[in-house]
Amino acid sequence: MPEIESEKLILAQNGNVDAFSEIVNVHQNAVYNLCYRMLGDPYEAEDAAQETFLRAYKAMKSFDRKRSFTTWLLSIAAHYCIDMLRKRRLNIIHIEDTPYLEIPDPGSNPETSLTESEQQKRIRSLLNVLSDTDRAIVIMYYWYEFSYGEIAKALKLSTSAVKSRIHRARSQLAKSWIERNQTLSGLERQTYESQAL
Amino acid sequence: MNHKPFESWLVADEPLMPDQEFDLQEHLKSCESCRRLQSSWQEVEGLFGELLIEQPQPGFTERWQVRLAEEISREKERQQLQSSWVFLASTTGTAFVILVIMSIRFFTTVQTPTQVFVSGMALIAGLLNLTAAIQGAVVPLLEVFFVSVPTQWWLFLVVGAFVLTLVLTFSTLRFLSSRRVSL
Repeated sequence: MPEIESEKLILAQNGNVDAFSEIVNVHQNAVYNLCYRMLGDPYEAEDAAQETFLRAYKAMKSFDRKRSFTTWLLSIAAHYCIDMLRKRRLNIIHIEDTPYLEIPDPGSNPETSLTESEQQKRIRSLLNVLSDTDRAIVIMYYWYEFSYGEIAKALKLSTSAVKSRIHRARSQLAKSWIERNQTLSGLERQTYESQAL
Repeated sequence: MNHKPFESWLVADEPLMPDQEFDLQEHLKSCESCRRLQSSWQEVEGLFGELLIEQPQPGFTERWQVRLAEEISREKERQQLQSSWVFLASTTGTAFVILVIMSIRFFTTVQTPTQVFVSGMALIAGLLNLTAAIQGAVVPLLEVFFVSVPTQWWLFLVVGAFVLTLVLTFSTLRFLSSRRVSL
């Protein structure tokens, strides 16, 4: 993960937009990827990443330069995405109460299916199994190779909580993969039987 | 069969102790369910081993700069609106306090409309008397002053007053004009 020089950070802390724009340039992929993995939608991910940088810009004065800037930035992104997912869930509940309205399955959107590779779809469906915080933990652990301590700091959890959550998440992921394989083999069997008939 | 410790060991991050490893291998020989979990986790780990970093559309930083500029102007508008509200509230509050004080004074000193009229007339008469007294004192002084001051001095005074007025006007305009705020 690229780290920003302290000179740039000092300039950005003093409100220099050009210095902060360079920070945006360097960290855009990391922040966008985290938002995309958390939210699963490119438009929402773009919006969340933009909002993350805006919040970081406003909070720059309170940033402690002894800390890792990347961890701090990704912590803002993760918290924002967790909030977004909560809001989204509330909205979905609200929509479910409304009659005659079908909620489209994001996984079956033909446009998304065309642009997304099979592996990306698999990863997304796997991550969807996890709770918001566990998803953020798994993303930070596997995509950004953060240590337990760094994840704990970023998400304001204890290190032992992060360890146990990762362990639980792994178990969930493995079980969900078994279920997925069973469903797929069931579907294949059905297709085979209908063809035979 | 109790799968609990084995299921936990299968997805453990840290390496197992030799005796745990032995027990796990023994268990796997006879447990189909745990073997399935093991292979499933291996597949997931394999998937996580080749992760890609998703990238935003080109021009992300420029879009962010536009968003920041919008946010700054929104913030400015919010602050202006807030200060307008504060000014309005303080003015209204002051006016209300003055009204209350005046009403108290009015109702404690005057009881009837005739008394209000008489007090008003007395006040106007007093003001007129004061103006006449000031006029009586100031006019003779001015007459003496105009005669004693030479013409060059008058010229000097008029030019000085003009220059001072220009300086005051320029300073006021500079102070009131909006300052350019760089991002």
